[in-house]
Order: sequence, then C-alpha cells, then structure tokens
Amino acid sequence: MKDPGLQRERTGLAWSRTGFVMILVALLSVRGGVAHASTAQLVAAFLLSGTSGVLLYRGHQRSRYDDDRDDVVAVPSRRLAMFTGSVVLTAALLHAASVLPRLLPALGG
Amino acid sequence: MPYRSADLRTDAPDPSRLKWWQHGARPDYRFSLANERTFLAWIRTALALIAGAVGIDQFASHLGPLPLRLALALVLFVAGGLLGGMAYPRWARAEQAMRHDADLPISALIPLLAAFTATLAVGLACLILLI
Repeated sequence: MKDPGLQRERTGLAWSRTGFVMILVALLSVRGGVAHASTAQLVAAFLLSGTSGVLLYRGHQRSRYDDDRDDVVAVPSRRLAMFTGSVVLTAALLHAASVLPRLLPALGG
Repeated sequence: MPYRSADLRTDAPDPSRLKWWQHGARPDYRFSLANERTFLAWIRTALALIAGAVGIDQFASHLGPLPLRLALALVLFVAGGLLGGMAYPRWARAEQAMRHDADLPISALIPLLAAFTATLAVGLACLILLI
C-alpha cells in the first residue's frame, strides 16, 4: 500500500471541510453586509468565497491518487497556508471594523 | 518537474541562501500531511469563532443589550482573527522542527483557547439565565 492510513484522502477531506465552513461564513457575511449595508462585510464575503473555491480545489487535488507522482504528496502547501491564514485574519478584521462604528455610539449613549 | 529536496540536489546551492523550508531533511510525508491537517483545524476553529460572532450580531437580538452583544461579537472577531493569523506561523514552526528532527514547539494557544472558550460559555450561560 502506497498511502498507509489514507493520509492523502484524509488531508484532502480536511481541505474540503475547511472550504465548506468558509462558504458558510461567507454566506453569513453576505447577509450581515446586506442587513447593515456594510461594505467591509461584503468585501470579507467576497474574499472568503473566493478562497473557499481554492480550498475545495486543493481538497480535490490532495485526494487524487496518482501512482506516477508519489513525490507530489510531500510538497507542503506553504503558500496556500499563508494565503488562507491571511484571508481569515483579514476577514475577521473587516468584520471587526464593521462592528466598531455601531459599538462606539451605543457605548456613548 | 518532480519535487526534490535541497539535500538531494547534485548542484547543491550555498546553504546560507536556502529558504527555511529547504533546510534539513524532508520529513516523512505522513507527518507533513498531519501538520497540514492541524493547520486546517486551527483555520476551522478561527472560522467557527467568526461565525459565532456573526451569529451573535445578526441572530441574537434578544441576548442582552446592544452594546454587550456588539462587544461580544467584537471579542470573537478579534479572537478568530488572531487564531487565523497564528495558524501559519504555528504550521511553519512545526514544519521546521520536523525538518531538523527537533521537538515540536509547544503552543501556548491551546490552553489560552480552552480558557477563552470556557469563559465565553459560562458568560453566555449566565447571560441567558439572567435575561
């Protein structure tokens, strides 16, 4: 067996799971963006939905079993990991930025 | 072009010019993939915190006064952002450690996240019971 423990399949499924969770957060962000007329939340939704597509594609790629390219599996997804982390951080900050203008007046009076 | 670790190259470049992910020996692919899955688990945790914050902001209008709800959402957004931002450095440190056959770094995030989640759960429970 060339892939003991089905490591590739498990990792591919983990990418897909993350992609689906990201789609859910993107949909919630769209709703929030429309409800509060918040451009920041809509931008976050756009970023998250685009990235979720990349993650789902990566999941599909990782799960593929290819006898001739056994070495490919060892390449860490360094750039994609950095990109995904940055998108999540940016989306969270955009959401925080959309909450602050409503929080500050509410605290003030 | 198949991937080849720097240590397998015949025309080995100057080690000082190599990037960190080219130093040391390539780890067993199973460990690299396990590290990747752990990274993704952190990302999903960050996304869950963000989703929770959006949920409080949009769907919990009965949960206490507006400033409290917005402050709670803000805290969750910041926590989600921090986790998302920390996921890559954590993955990179673990990858580096594996390439050099060193001990895996101990993450301070785990006890912090556990304490944060427990505090949040107790706080929300109190809020629901009091209102």
